[in-house]
Amino acid sequence: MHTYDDGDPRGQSLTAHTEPDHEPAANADSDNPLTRDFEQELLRPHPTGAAAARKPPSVPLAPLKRVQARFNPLADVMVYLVVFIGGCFGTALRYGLWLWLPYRGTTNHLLMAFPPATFIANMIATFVFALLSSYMTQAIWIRKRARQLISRGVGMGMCGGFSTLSAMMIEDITAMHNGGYWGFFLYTMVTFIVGIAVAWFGSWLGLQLTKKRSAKQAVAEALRMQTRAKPAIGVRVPTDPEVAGAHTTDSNDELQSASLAALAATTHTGDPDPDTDEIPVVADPMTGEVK
Amino acid sequence: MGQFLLICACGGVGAVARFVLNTSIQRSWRKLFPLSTFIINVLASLLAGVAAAAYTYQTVNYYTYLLFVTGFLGGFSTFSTAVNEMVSLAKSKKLVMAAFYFLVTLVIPFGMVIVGWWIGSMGR
Repeated sequence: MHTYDDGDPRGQSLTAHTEPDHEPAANADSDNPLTRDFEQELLRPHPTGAAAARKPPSVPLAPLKRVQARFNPLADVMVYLVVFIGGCFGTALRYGLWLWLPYRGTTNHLLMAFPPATFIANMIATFVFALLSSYMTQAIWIRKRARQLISRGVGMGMCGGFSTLSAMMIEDITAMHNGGYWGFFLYTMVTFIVGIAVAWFGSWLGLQLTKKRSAKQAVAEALRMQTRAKPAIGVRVPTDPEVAGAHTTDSNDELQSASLAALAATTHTGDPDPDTDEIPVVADPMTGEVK
Repeated sequence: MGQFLLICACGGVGAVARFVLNTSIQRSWRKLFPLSTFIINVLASLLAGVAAAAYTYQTVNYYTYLLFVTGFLGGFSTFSTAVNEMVSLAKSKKLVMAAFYFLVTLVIPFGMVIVGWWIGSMGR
């Protein structure tokens, strides 16, 4: 097998297409120039015309579009409703927790600044918010509108209403007023550091929960790309001579397996590269038939 | 019970106010620094300082204080979003920005509570 390790990768990928002697890049790794080309094309937008300018011109929305939720997030009545209900619910939880675990004033200067209700509410809200937001960025199997409403209602409304910074600051200043300087410092630091740890754990957990299913979806997508619709009988599909060359079927297979590998490389699922030779005998996940 | 529900409704209004302010700021702010959450927290802290001073000097009664601070400002200010923005900045290797945001979120709202307290107790 020829190794492409010197010179311009773009030119070499062209030779890989046209020259018949080279092996197809079936098990493409990240060093493969073909994969890199595909990755570049897939990941980098290429604006042309006016959009390619440093500051693309922005066209103001038409007055009739300005009041539609599709074009203006501030005109979305459903989001207002969802955020309001979430905020009510979050405030109810926080106030209920505060009534349930009231702050008992102590004379101990270190413990003076530790109101348990605010701390617990902040930590739970931070965790839920981190979990939800990382889950919702990955969960492409939920409809986009549903994802938007859930993350607005539960994330912004409920978690935002449940957690509070202003109450924390008031407690800080009350503790400082009463002379609990160390308690104030310790409470603030503990809240922020534990909060960051909890948020990190929450976002990690959200990614773990979605990992399996999003990998499955990526494979299904790749399969669908490979088993794309065949032309009807009698229809002649013109082949590009520059890409396909003289041996039409062979090169098409090469191209498809290479694009599959590139897709697998760009989705970053963490799985090993699929063995493209065996994919055609796997059942189609959509229809269940084996091709 | 009616008192409880009214406080909850105030929290809902606070959350809606945050949504409106957040969306309006994010529309014109394209930089890395999460300005919208920061402005929201600073504003909430300032108002909380004013309210705390007003309650301490008995300008307003306890119920009004609860309605405003526990209800509206509790729903308006947010700790969870701020911390999650710090974490996502740190995760995308913007460590300096994350540390700066952490420091600023710690110091400026606290300063704002003091300023608010000073404003609220001015006439004494």
